[in-house]
Amino acid sequence: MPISAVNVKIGKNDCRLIDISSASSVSDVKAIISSEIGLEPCFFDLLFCGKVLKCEATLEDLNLGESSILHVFNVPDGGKQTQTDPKSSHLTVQEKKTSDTARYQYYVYCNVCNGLEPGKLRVRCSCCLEGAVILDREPCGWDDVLIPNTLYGHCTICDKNTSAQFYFKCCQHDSNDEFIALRHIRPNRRHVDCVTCATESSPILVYPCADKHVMCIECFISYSQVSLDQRSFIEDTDVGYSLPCPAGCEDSLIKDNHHFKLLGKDQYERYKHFGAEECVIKSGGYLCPNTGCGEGIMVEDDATNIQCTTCMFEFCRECKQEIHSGSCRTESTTGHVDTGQVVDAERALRARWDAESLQTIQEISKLCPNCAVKTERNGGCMHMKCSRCHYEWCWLCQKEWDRTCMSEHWFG
Amino acid sequence: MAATRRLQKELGDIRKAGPACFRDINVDDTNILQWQGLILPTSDYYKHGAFKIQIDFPAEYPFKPPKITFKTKIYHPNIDEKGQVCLPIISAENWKPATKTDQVIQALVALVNEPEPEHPLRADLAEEFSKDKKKFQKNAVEFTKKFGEKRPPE
Repeated sequence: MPISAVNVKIGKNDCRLIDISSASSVSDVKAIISSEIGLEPCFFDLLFCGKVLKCEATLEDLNLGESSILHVFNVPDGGKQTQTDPKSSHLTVQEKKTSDTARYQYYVYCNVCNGLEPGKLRVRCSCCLEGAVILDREPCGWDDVLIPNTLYGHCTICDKNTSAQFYFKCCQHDSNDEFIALRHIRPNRRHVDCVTCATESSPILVYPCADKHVMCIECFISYSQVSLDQRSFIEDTDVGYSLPCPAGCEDSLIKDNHHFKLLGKDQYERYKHFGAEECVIKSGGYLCPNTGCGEGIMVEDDATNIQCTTCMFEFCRECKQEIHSGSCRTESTTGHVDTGQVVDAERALRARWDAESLQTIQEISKLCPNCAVKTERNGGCMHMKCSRCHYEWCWLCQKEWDRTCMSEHWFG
Repeated sequence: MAATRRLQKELGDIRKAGPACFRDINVDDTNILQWQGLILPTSDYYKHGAFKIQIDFPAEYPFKPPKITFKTKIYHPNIDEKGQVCLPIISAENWKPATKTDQVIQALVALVNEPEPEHPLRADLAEEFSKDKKKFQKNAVEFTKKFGEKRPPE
């Protein structure tokens, strides 16, 4: 998209729009500013993205958007040329190599475009929030950019050293909106095949494992979706509810949960819900067993009964059933009832139907012996692993899975 | 679809490599999610025959593991009468989407060649295997000769 207008800011409040072709160079822009403010071009420089711009760089190279701002920066020593500045030469060389979207290194999840889009990195002074900052050094990795107060620079507006604040914008639409960068996603410049579908595409997700395994975005979404359905995400103290490299590498968890936004809005909500539940269980809390509730409850005392603070349902700590007197019932109520009442024939028939369907329900679903979540076995062996609390139990014995279960009724 | 793309590539690779232990691979053009083939074990117990297996890949492959069923009867502690086999590499807990079918077949052939009586599906055979190898071998060889498929020429 050719840009015909450039925002230039002089000091904090003087912002001007300069009409110029996108093929123009920085010195062309400086010449126009010079005529507008009456200051020779050698007495000032232009600042963008933490860098002093080289005169021969073109506006196309800078990848400016409609809301991008170039800051006029007065050089204290008028004769000194910035071309000799080693910090700025790097920018020009790097940005000239490629063109258009091929040069984007960063990706954001854009809430406006509703998806994964190339992103651009921007920097501003943490104090005045203006972009007129000259960085002390260049950012060398994600930690430099994502951890606050890591990099510092000289703000030409505050005229002092301040911490630099990095942020990301979406390249596909022009606005001042900021979005979260997905640090594991990058363009596939090395043409590596996806570790799961073995085809090449770009952008790709690179796992933080030693081998840096690569996965295409389509496979990452399928992998996340299947893992979510199976509740096989891992709850990690440092990174939260996450997924490891599909090759089984150590220390390979996705470090930023925003990557799971790629699942789409509904599934991302579901992901957050499951993550919260795992966190509650891991911290020794309880999930309300009332149908449709499932609220996380942290209990401080060791009382036998627990009451949900949301739906007010009261349940037994041991069997997770509604509060009761006496010891916990182990089986559902399918046994005989006291027949001290007169029952008409039709009603008796219906009761029989109910009993049968109750029995069917009991056959297809059982309660996890640990957390009492209703569990359906849809095939496979007797060895159950609770998808909620991860307790390993035997479908037949309804107790912890052991070697006796293996030898006596592993299959059947 | 990831499953189709991946399986086409895997099938191509396996056919190209032509492993000696997995032959006569048969995949219906209309359904790449189901493979059939012959396993050719090399251990003394089973070297006199071949065993037909079926690999069923779920639609969510490779994010869910394939299932393997023996179509030929086999006298083996880890394979039951229905042809079900408990292979750790394709269990739900151990499955890694990066695991290739080729590795699964290698693991299967290794298990067939050398039974693991520690994790049996058929306790009687496991006991015989552990206590009386000679008897087990005699039975396995006889069973293989009776029920096994003919081994294709080298």
